[in-house]
Parts: sequence; C-alpha cells; structure tokens
Amino acid sequence: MTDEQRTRYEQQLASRYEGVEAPPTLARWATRPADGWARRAVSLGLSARNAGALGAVMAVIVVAALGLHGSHGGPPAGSPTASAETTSSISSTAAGECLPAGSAPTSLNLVGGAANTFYGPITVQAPPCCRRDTSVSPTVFTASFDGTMSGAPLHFALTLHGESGGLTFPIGFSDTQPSRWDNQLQMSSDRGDTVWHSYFGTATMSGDNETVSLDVGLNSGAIPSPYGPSSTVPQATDAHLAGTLVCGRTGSGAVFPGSTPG
Amino acid sequence: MTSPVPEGNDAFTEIYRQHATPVYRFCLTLTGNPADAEDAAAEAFAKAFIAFSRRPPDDVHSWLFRIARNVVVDQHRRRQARHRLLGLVGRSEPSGTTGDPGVSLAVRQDLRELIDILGALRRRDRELIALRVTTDMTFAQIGKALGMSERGAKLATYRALAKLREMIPEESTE
Repeated sequence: MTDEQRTRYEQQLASRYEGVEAPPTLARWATRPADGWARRAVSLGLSARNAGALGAVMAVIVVAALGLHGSHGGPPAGSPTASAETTSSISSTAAGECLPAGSAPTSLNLVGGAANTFYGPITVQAPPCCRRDTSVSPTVFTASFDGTMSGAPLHFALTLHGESGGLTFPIGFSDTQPSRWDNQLQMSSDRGDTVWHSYFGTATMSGDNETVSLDVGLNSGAIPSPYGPSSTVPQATDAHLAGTLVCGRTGSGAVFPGSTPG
Repeated sequence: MTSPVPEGNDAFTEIYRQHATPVYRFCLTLTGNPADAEDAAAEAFAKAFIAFSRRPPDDVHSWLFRIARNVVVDQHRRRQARHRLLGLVGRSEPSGTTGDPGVSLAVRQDLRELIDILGALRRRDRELIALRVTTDMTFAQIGKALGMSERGAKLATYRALAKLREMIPEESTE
C-alpha cells in the first residue's frame, strides 16, 4: 500500500465515525459546577477511601445470591434499613416538551420526601417527538437520574429498571449503563457534615413504545460501612431524584415532565 | 503534537471538551457497544481527573488515551470475572445487557461493520487502528499511549491496516 493509498484508506475509515459524538449523558459530568468529575470519580470508587475491587466482587456475589438484580428497586435484603422502609409512588403521564435536536436535556425534579427510603415507580409517557422517532429503528430512550441526599455519612443504593415494549432492562444504578451489578453506591462526607452526592444511571431502551416505565429505589442508612461503625450513621432526612429522558439516536431531546410523590 | 495544558479545573474541562468525542469513539471501537463505550469514557475521564489533579501530564493525548485503553481492558476483565462468578452461583446475566453486538444500538451500519471486523483482529491491532482513525495523534503519541516506540507503532499500524484492508477493501473513488 502506498502512502497515498494508506492515507485515503484511513480517511475512509475515519469517515465512518461521522456523526458519532460523545453522548450528552457523558457531558453531564463535565458541565456540573466545579467538581463533577470529582464526584464521578468518587462514585466509581476511585477515591482513596474506595472499597476497591473486593467491593465490586462482593456486590456481584450479593446481588446474584439474593436475586436482587432486575427485581424492584430496594436495599439488599437483611440490611439494617429494611425495617425502616416506607414507599412513595410517583407517576406522571403528561406529555413532555420536545426539544430541537442537539439541545441539552433539561432536568426535572422527582422529589421523594420519605426519610431513608424512596421508591418509584415512575411511569413516563413518551412525548410525541419520541413517538415520531420510532421511524428510526431502533428507538432509543436514555434515562438519566441524579440522586441527592442529606445527612452524613450515608449509603446510597439505587436500583432501576426500565420497561419498553415488554422488554425489561435491569439497571445497576452505580454505573452509567445497564448490566451493572454493583448497584450500591457508598458515600460519606470528609467534613462529617452534610453529604451532597449525586449519581446517575442510564437506561438505554429500544422499542416503539409510548410509555417508558422506570423503577427507582433509593435507600440510605446504617448499612455496615467501611467508613466507620454503622451505629454512627444517621438516617437520611431528605432525598431527591432528578431525571431526564432523551429519545432518539443523537441526543435530540425530550424532557419528561416533573412528578410529585403520589 | 502536545496540547498546552492550562492549570486548574478549567483546564480539565477544556481537556474534556477537546477529547470527549475522540475518547468516546476510541472506546466504542474497542468495546463495540455504545453503552460500554460511554461507561468506559466516563471512567477514563474520572480517572484522568484524579491523575490530573496530582500531576498534569506532558502530553495530554497519549496520557488520556492510555487511560482510556486501560479502562477498556479492565472493563473486559471485570466482565469476564463477573461471568465466572455468576456461573459459580448458577446465574447468568440478563439477556440484552451484555456487550453482545446484537444489542449494540444506534451505531451506523458502516461503522458497525468496521467495529465487528476489527473485533476479529488482535487487540493491539484494534487499538492501533482505533487510535489512528479516531484521533489525530502522531505515531510517536500512539506509541506512547500503547507503550511502544514510534517506529514500532508505525510499522504495526501499517501492518494492521493492511490486514484490515483485506477484509474491508478500499472504496472506489471513481
């Protein structure tokens, strides 16, 4: 192959990537105020206080053994917080607002006021622009959530699954994609005061549905922690979830409407 | 080519802006799956952020793609470990949640073909081609990212491209 041929060939290969951009959900970490990547790093267990590989392996074993993955979101069975559960249901069916292609998705707040626990499900009626997008096959829905809680130090466990066209996609919430098993996120505050932490998971769903259902479970409390004796762990006093649903392939957005606890 | 590196968090934000798409494309090429690619890219930038705060690199390009490459390798190892562990407890991953090309959504057809065929090559060949076509890095930088000499990277890339060309012929420009 001559240099000219090689250059031309490389250009042809490179052209296949045209239109492939970093997804908007990835950009969320870069656009957060000041320390988005730092918080992302903590959520990935990259801080000096991470539980490390052992934690990931344990999560696999626990999830597999207890059969939690793909079930309704909630804390691991037997966790100290289980007895303190309360359940909130939130739902929304109103059509959302469509955004021009390329627009950044806008967050909404899904607020759960129950201390310690917060559960979905959240049912979202896909906005008309998403339905029209079914001409693009497959339709892709991407749901992203942030969770924040106050109280310190806390454990933050989220599980989520989405349904689309009868297909269920279990999602471990401690990572940005389906299929993650390590669905517990541990967090604490270095200052020992209010924890502000966020995390989001992404559900990628295919189908031609008008409704997207997501189960979200959020739990906090005195789960035994590598960060210290569980007896020192206070209960969460507040919990918020904020989410976006983006439909289409390229980040053309549809924002699903805000919901309030049912 | 060495990117100037401003100081502070703004510097990292700028690194992200410049490299988000190339890193994502690189990860997509290696993982074959948009979800895995996003995951790997996010982890790569998070790791890069930590490392950057300790000591900014001399060559952002090589440094960042070396991190991304290692993240993808780790991701692959974790998946294998997870399969083994789940096998031990008699469970399997839910269908539709793995790196199965059948569930790789939203990748244009010609790119899908390229990624699938690259998957048949050796990992090093795949990495070399991915860096060559998704970035504008020099061979010196590619070599640095993959722990090779400049000359070694160049020769190996040429060989890998020749292999690929046997499977995906050059399109006619007539």
